[in-house]
Amino acid sequence: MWNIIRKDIRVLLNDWKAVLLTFLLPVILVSLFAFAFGGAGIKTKARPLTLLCADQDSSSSSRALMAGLDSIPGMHIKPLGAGPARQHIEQGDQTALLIIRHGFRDSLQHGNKLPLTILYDPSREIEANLIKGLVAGNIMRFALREKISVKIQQNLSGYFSPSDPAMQGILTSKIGEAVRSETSGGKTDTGIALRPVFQEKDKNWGLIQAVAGIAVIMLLFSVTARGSSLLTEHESNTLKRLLIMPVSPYSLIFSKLWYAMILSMVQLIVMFVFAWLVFGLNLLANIPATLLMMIATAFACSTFGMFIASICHSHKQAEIVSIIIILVISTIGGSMIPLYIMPEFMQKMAVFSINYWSIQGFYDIFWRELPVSQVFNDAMVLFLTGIVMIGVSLLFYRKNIHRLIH
Amino acid sequence: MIEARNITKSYNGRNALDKVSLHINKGAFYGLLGPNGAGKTTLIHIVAGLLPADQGAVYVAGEKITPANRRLKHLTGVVPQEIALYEDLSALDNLLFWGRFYGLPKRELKSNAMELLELSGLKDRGRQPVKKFSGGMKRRVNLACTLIHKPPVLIMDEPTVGIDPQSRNLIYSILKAYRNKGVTILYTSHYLDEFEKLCDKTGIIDHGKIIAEGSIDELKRRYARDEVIVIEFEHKNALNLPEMLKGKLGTSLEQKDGKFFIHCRNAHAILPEITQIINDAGKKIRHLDIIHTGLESIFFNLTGTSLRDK
Repeated sequence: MWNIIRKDIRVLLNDWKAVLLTFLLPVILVSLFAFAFGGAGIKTKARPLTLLCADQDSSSSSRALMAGLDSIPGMHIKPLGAGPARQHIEQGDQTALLIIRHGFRDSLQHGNKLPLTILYDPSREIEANLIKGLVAGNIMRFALREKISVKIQQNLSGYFSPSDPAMQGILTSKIGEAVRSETSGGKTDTGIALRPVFQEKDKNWGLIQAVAGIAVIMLLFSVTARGSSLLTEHESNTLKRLLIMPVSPYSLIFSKLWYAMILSMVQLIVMFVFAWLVFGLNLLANIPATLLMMIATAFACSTFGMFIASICHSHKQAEIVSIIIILVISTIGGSMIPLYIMPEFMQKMAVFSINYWSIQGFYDIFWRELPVSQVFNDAMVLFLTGIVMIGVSLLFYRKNIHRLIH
Repeated sequence: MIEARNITKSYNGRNALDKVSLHINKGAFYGLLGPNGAGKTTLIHIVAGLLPADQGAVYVAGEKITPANRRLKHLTGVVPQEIALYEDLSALDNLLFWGRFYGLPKRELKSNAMELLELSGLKDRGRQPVKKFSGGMKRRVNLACTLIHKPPVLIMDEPTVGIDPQSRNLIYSILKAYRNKGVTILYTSHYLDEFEKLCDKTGIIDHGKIIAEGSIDELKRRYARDEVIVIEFEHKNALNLPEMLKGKLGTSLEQKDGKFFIHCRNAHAILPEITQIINDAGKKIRHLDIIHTGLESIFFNLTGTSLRDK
């Protein structure tokens, strides 16, 4: 028995591809997921939560509130007009916007319900709730402090001067005690309205994430197999015969690219039509933008297949290399885990993946309902990525083609 | 029709071809004989326009061949050494697929394909996937795919390797028919009898150089001398054979790399006596071979080694 086990271990260790898949790939994925979920056991810098703040009250109280919120560890307040701020949320650049409406100071002084609203991107609901939790507790303490301070000052104003330093010390201490006493009961409702920036009816964030995220992964896997069919041609001896034919060697590689493109488009159409018919994805909302993103995604994924075929020496090698690359870029690109829960450095890394730009594009169409002009940037990045990959592939192809023949 | 001038090609500093020149007249059947690694396939690749030569040039019909010269590729048909077919497609689909590269009209392409299937003895099985074919049948389809555009020049790299005698004979008859039609053929093979059956002219290539060239008769006249008996014993230097045979058989004998080479007029006539001497001495023969008068002995006489040793 030991003899068979020893033989199997030797066979495994002699196959570097199998060793890579067995040991390296799990290590890479565990590391990526650990980073993505906040770096379990690894010291990573937490991403500060940015809250846009539209101060329509423009009072000393509203400014004090904003300063107070900005002092919360891990929270960054960014003042901005309500219109542009809302646009940022709608475009997915920021998560939430706190609007301090007119009458905030008066409401504070009279103990009325505070005119505060948080608008958030519903695709980032978890992050928005986290922000609301942090903001609500802080606002409640701020409001109580203001309310008690005003009352005490009103009651004692006939006896002491508010500028008396001894009186200020007593006031600060008493107000603090009162605030602690009021908040110790766990009552935290400040009446802040938490509203999504647009209505969610007919939209399913999870569905868009699933379709866009999975579509890109599946596409990458299938086109890599198609793209690397050039290596299959080599292994089945037909490549040599193809090169003997009266066609340019480059037409071979481009015909493989076109084949992968056509298949990718069909695959994407099938996936999105299925999601439309079965799960109610609003596929017809913006057909030109959807087609643009589909073509861009299919192009980028197909050139990825071409790239893998050009750098690898065998079909088996292409399989191993593509599995590793696809799983890595799919993890960092947001296909497997929504980007907003990843640390900042991973979100920055995401831009180096096809998945990121494709998913963002489909979000812009189906979630944010942006026009073609807004989706164009995502599509252009995918097209440029594809062109760069074609360039690199051709360089490798030219270098390797004679080796393949010999 | 085909002219190669001073072709040199090296891989990783090793010369695969060293100033090889050859001239094949229109309608000639030229055979290239050499052991594995002699440079046959490299030369075929360069003549087929698949590889560029480091130095020298190949001309077909007076025009220089380069990997980019697509017009000349229409004139040539190349049978690669390996079976290069799509196994999931039928024989007919393979023929049509490869034929489409030459831009033949649809009707002509179909007619050529049907004609070739009949010529290859595969008319009834043309619509079956190639993966269901025997090795010999695949070789026949492999050849037919090269003939689909009726090229005036055929370049063939061991087209009959590893197949049954029936398929081989069928391929011979196809090749003879094409030779009779005036097609120029450059042919490599391991099977010596093919050169005698098919070729008008044979070039012997070794270590990247053409070392002899001519018709089989010319080569025999110039280079074939004796038959050679090659003997290898179980234990080297086990027997002082030269001493034992001295003056007995009228043979000349040489020793090289632990083997004995006995040159004689008729190997079969003296072989019983030689084996008797060895048996009487109580020695065991590990390997015994006879190199007959013909291409094999020509090669032996030219290179000092047998084709099978390489």
